[in-house]
Amino acid sequence: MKPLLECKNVSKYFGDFAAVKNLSFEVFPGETYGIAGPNGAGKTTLFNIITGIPIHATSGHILFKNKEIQKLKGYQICHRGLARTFQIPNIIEGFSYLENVLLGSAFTKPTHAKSPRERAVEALTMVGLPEKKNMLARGSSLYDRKRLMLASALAANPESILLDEPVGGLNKLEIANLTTLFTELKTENITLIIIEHVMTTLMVISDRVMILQQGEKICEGSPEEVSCDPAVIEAYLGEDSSQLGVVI
Amino acid sequence: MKQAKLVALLLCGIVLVILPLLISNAFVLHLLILCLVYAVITSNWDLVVGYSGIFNFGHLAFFAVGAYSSAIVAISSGISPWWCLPIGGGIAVVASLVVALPSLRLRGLYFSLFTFAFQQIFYSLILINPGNLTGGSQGLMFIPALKLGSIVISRTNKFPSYYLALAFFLLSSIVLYRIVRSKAGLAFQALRDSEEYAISRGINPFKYKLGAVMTSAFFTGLIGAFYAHYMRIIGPAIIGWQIFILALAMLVLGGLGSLFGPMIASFGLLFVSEFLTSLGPYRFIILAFVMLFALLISPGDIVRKLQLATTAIRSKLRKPDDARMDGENSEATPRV
Repeated sequence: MKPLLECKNVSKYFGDFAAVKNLSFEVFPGETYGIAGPNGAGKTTLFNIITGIPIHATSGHILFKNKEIQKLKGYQICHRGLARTFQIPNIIEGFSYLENVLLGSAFTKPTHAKSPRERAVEALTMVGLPEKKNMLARGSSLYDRKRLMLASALAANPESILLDEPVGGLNKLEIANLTTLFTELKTENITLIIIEHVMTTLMVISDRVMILQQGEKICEGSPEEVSCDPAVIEAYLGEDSSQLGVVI
Repeated sequence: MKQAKLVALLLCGIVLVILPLLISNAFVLHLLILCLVYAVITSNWDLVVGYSGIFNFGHLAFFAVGAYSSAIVAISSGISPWWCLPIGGGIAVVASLVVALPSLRLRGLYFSLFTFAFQQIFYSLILINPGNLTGGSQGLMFIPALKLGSIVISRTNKFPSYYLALAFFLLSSIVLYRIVRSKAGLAFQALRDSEEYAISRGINPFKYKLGAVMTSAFFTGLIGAFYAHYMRIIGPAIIGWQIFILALAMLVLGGLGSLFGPMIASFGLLFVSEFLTSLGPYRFIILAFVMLFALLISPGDIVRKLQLATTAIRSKLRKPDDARMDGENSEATPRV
């Protein structure tokens, strides 16, 4: 099977500092690929350079559906079928819930008979927010904001979504609900690439996991393989491996 | 809420149509024509600054470009001034491309400085009078008036001039309203509030920002052309500091991103400005202070405050839960 997303020797330098260093990995269609690592490991920078928002890679090749995208602009990458969410929910406060999601469906090429509005309502329903469609997003809860971001990404009809800490800051019930939702999305054949610090969620939903440290890949494999890797325990949890059972 | 808005707009429209029939004073009619001109300028400025978050401080230059180009073409070529109106708007669009193409990729303050510099360059060009085209500090005189059969449309004949100004005002307002309620309006506001988010959803920032600047330049240039043929005399003052302060005060007091706010403020402030005429140039200082004072004590705008007030009244008349939902829904009409 050909990979949907392929990063080959991708680096991002800010001056002399390497935020992402010579990183290579592949994500296959329908797969849920988890990315974890300590703060400052380069996870969000990696998302930024894959999506071209707001930066591009210093070197290396990024291929999506076998075509290079590392020089495309952010909106062009979205049109190719790669959507993303942001670590801090980046919704438009003055818009209604529906208008926020319409942003996802209105500016991407329609791929089927549904109108942008129908796609937006469908996406809102998928994330469990259909009854709030006409409410203003201003003052909405973090849980709603995270779901709104996800809904607007889904409304763009993407083949792959990059989710940056989609459950960070949420309570256990909310995390459980979103975990269920991500599992459901797998059945829709949407390829998910997820950065997450909540390891229980990441390990449950991911088919494979990559661990980053200081911009470099230190481990990649199934959740079971990664959770037993000594380098991961060292890098992610430090010397205190007693946390292993709590976090993973 | 929608119906109330529609009724309010219809009433405003009816008032604007019958107003000249009730006013016999030619000077007041002249002021109303200028109000309509300013309303077109500021509402189009609002499309760029308020809706799209593009801090274009060179907007008045498009008005001057429209006025001067239309006047110059009419004087030098002798073609009908009616043709000069769209030419004025078109040349303003070309001017907007000259400004926007190199500058739209600049961010924040740098873009503002660029547009401000453009306005100053254009002001200097008018004064330098290249090729004896602009008339220098004297300006252009004897600009051909618009004619409809035997009816002359100029400041000597205010009745038809008012209705032509109203037609341009309505045309501009309807187009702007349609734009801000459309997919493009959604893109403008998304780019203004969160450019990264907007881009991540497939919005091409350059295309939409350029579209906003070009649209605003066209209508501003068009009304500039009308102004030139209505007044039949224009000078560099139309792009000067005093007009800039007045238009800026209308925009700020009316409220950024409210469309109708700057229109309402245009009518209010122009009459206030005329009321203060006896103070000479000090009236613009007073207007600037009024603007600053309003910003300090109550940032916001006329239309939003009216909406808040009506929402508050409605919420008192209804059950708390219903009222909350209604307030939250007030601006939330899907546009696509």
